[in-house]
Amino acid sequence: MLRQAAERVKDVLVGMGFQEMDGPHADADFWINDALFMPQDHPARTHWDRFALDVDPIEELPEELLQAVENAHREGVGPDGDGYHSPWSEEFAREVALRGHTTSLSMRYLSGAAEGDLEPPQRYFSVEKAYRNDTIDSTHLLEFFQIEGWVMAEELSVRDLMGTFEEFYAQFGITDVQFKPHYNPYTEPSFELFGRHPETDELIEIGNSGIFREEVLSPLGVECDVMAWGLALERLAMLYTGAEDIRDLHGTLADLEFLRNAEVIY
Amino acid sequence: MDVPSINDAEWTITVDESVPAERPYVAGAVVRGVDLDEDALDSLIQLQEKLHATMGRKRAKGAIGIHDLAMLKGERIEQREVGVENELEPPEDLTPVGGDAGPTDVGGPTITYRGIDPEGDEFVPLDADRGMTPAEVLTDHPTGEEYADIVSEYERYPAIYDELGLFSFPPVINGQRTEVTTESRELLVELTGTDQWTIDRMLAIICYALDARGATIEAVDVVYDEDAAGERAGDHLVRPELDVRKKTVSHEQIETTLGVELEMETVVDLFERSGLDVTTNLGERTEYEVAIPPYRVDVLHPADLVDDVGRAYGFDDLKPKYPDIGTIGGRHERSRLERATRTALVGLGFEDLLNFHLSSPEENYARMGVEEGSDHLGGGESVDVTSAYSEDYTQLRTWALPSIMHVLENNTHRRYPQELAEVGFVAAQDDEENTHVAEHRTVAAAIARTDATYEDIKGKLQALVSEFDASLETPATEHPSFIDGRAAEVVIDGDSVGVIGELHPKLLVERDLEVPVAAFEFRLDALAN
Repeated sequence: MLRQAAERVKDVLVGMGFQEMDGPHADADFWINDALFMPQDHPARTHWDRFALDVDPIEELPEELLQAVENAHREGVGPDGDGYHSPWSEEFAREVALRGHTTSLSMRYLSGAAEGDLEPPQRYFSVEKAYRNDTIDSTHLLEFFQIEGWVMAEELSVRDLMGTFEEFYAQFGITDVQFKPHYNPYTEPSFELFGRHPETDELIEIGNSGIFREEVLSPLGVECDVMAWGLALERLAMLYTGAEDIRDLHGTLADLEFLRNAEVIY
Repeated sequence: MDVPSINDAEWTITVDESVPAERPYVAGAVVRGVDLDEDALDSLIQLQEKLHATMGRKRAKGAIGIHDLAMLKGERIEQREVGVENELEPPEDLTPVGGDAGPTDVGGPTITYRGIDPEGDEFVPLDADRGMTPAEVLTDHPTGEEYADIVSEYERYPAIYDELGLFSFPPVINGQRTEVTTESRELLVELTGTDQWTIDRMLAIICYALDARGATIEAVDVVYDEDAAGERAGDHLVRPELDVRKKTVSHEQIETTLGVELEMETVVDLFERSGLDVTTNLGERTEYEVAIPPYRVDVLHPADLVDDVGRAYGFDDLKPKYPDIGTIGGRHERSRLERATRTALVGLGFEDLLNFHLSSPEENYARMGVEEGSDHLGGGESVDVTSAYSEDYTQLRTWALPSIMHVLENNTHRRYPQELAEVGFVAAQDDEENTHVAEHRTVAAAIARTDATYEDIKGKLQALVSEFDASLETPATEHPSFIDGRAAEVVIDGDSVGVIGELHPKLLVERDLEVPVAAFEFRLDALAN
C-alpha cells in the first residue's frame, strides 16, 4: 500500500515534468553529507545517528569536487563567505554509510557524476528509501521513503518553491499548504511545510525545503539556482489510509489482513 | 545595535606549554558590575547551556566556565615596572610564564591554562562534598560521567589554575570555590575549545548578553606559550572581540530570491527591523553593506541576509507562482522494470510486499539453513551496520526470501492460501564495487497452501518470464533452503540468476507453518532485454 502511494507520487511528479533519479543506498559520507555543506561535527553526523557500515571506504570520488567541497567547508564560498571552522577530514568523507536522506542522489546528479553536466532548466525527483539509526516505534521505522525533488533554472524565487508545492499537494487533496521559515545547513531560505488535511483538519508537518546555498552549488559547478525538498511519503500514506501504526504499512512485521483490507490508492 | 565598549585588560590568561594538544585554545573576559537575581542567574546558565549544546557541540568544540572573580586570586608576579600598570605590552616584550621562568612584567593578576596528570591534583567540584582528582571526577561525579568521553583519552587533562590552585576542570566542571551566586558582582568568563574562532564567538554572545544587563566588559590578555600546542603558540590575543563583521548583498539578489520588486528604502527598513545596520552603496548596481554582530554566527554568506529580509517582509505575504519553465518528465528504466514486474506478479495472483532491507544473520542465514560466504543464492557476505540499536536489524539482507518467510511466520493465523511476492533491494559485500557494496534488485515469490508444489511455483515463474519475452530453463540443483530433488536453478536467457523449489520442512517446522511452501528468487535485471 505504501508502494501504491509511492507509485502515485511518481505518476504525479512525472506529470509535472520531473525525471526520476537512481543511485546507491550505501554511499560515501561525502555524497550524503559533505557535498550538502553539512559540517562534519554536526550532531546528526555523530557516531550513533549515522548508519555507518562495516566496509572499506569508497574508492573513487571526483578529486576536483572533493577539494572544492573541503574549501567550502573551511573557507566558505565567495568574497563574503565564511566556512565552518570545523575539522574536515577526507577520511571521514570517504566512509560508507546507509544514506540518511536521498539528497545524496541529488548531489550526484547536480555534480554531473550521475549523467554528466546538466544545463538549466531541469526537474528531477526520486521516491526511494532512506535510513535512520534509531529504535522502532509506531511512528518511526529504521527505513522510510523520502520524496526528493529539485528544480534547476536560471532564476528561482521562494514564490516558485511555494507554487510548486501548492501544485503537487493539490493532487492529493491538500490545498492549504503552509510555509514556516526554518534553518537547514544546505538551503537558504529554508521552509518546513505543513498541510491541513481536508478530512481530519489537522495541521501536520509534511516536509522540508529551500533554495540550495551557494556553498552547496558552487563546488558542484552549478551556476544557476536550484530549489529542493525532501518530503515524507509515510506521512502522506498515513493520511490516505488512516493507519495509526506505521508498522502496518511497511516491513516484515506487516499484518496480511490489514494489507488485504486496505483500500486501493489511485 | 551598539557594540559594547570594552575596558582595558587587567587580568591575563596564560597558556602553558603543557596545555592538552587536543584542546589548546582559550578565551576569556572579565565582567564587572553584575547584578544577578535568581532569574537573571538562571537565564545566564540557560544561555551557557544553549551555547554548549549548539556551537560548543556538547562542550567538545567549546565550553564556557563562569566564575566569581572575587574568589579568584591571580598570581601577581612581582617586579612590575613602575608606571606601566595595566598597560598592554607589545607581545615581543612578554616573557612566557611557566616552569621557573622567574619574574615577568605581565602586570596584572594571572591565571594559567595547562594540562595536568589525570591524578595530578585535587579540587572540590560543584555539587560535591570532597576534594577529587580530575580522574575521580570522571568516574565518581555525575557531571564527570556525562562528559568523560570528551577528555578520557587525553594524555593530560585540561586544568585552570590561579594562585590558590586548581579551580576549573574544563570542559567538565568548575570548582566550588569560584561558584557564581546571586551575590557575585564580578565575573571571570573563560572558554576552552578545539577552535579559537568558535570560542571567540561563544564569548562574544555571553558578553553581549551581560552588557545588555548593564554590566561592564573588561578585556583579558591571552598569552600563548611559544611551545604550546595548536596554531596560536606564541600569540598574544586580547579578548573578547565584539566588533561587527561586514557582508555585502545586492539589491538584485534580494529581489530574485524573494521574487518581488522592492524599493531601496523598503529593503533598508527591513534590514533595520531585523536588527541589522546597513550602508547603501549606489554604484553600477545597488548594494547593501550589512554590519553583522558577532552573535549572528548563522550568517556565513550574503544569502543568510536575504533570509533576514524575507522574514521581516513576511514570507507568508509572498504569492506562490508555478515556475515558468518547460521540462519533460519520465521514470528511470530500473523503476519502470520494477513496476512492470510487480504488475505482472499481482496479475499472477501474488500479494505485493514491501519488506525491510535491514535484517539479522539469524534471519538472513541461520534460519534459512544457508551459510554466509557460500555460493548458494543468499550466501553472499553481509554488509553490517557498525553500531546497530537492535539485534534484529544489524545487516542488509542478501536476499528477499527470508523476509517473505518472516511474513508467512507472522501470519499463520490469517487466511490461506497466502501467495506473496516482493521486488526489492538486496546487497552484499563486493570489493569490485566503488563503495565495496554490491546492490541489486531481486524478485522473490512464495506460495503457501495445502497443496503447494514445485510445479505450481514453476508455472507462475514460467508465466512471469514469458511476459518479458525471455526464455526459462530449470536444471536441477541443490540449495540448503530447499528439498533435495525439488529444487532447480533459475536460468533466464542462458544466465543462472536464481533458485526455485519446495522449501525444506525444517524451515517450515521452525516457523510453525503447517502448509508446504514453494518459492523462487532471482535477479530482476535478468528480465531486462
